[in-house]
Amino acid sequence: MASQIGVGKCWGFKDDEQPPYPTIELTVSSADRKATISPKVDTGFNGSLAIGREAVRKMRLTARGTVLIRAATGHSEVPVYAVKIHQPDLALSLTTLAIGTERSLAGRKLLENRTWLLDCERRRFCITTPKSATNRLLRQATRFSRELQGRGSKIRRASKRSQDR
Amino acid sequence: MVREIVLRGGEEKEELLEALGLHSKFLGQYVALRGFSVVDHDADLYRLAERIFPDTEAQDDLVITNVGTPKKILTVEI
Repeated sequence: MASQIGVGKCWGFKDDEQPPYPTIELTVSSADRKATISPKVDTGFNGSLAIGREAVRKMRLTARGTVLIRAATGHSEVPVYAVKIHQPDLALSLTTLAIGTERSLAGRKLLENRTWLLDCERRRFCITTPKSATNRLLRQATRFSRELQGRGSKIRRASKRSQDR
Repeated sequence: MVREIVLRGGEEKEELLEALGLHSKFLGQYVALRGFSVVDHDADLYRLAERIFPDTEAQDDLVITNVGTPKKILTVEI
């Protein structure tokens, strides 16, 4: 399987807890403020984004409601915020609800429909690209390079002929 | 007033939703309220949010909440 995929954009692990954990980088904006956050990738979270208290405070987000969530410790009620998420490497730009939690989390709803590489050895979390697409790009690049070399040879020959005359 | 109560959450919110008759109609769903009126509802929070908050600036007077325990509850396993 590993030989069938190529590796695209990667994000590093954070090591403020052990073992280190994967993150991705997102730009989150409200009506008048913007912040770049690195939420923990949490496959145990079935939503899209949980935004940490610090980011809520920095962005001065106003709650648009409260919802009940289920956590490991039981049910709890959390605020929800309307935010725009922007992540160019994922071609992601959408307005969604983020729940307010202690720390920022990227959930399964953000991860779905993509293939990811969780590389704990190199401490990186990456988007993968189909190998066929990578190979197609390589073939195109090779063809283009040969074409350029061919044109270069023709120019050199034409230039030599011109000098000989 | 409704907005403030919903944002405070807890028992007071549940009592308000009960008094508005929402438990009998929308139990297990998410509702968007403007004052005492339900303007939209959905079992899926994100589907409701897509309709209610198409951008981050709109609909300041609306508030979203759950009625009872949502059938599609958000789960954070940490």
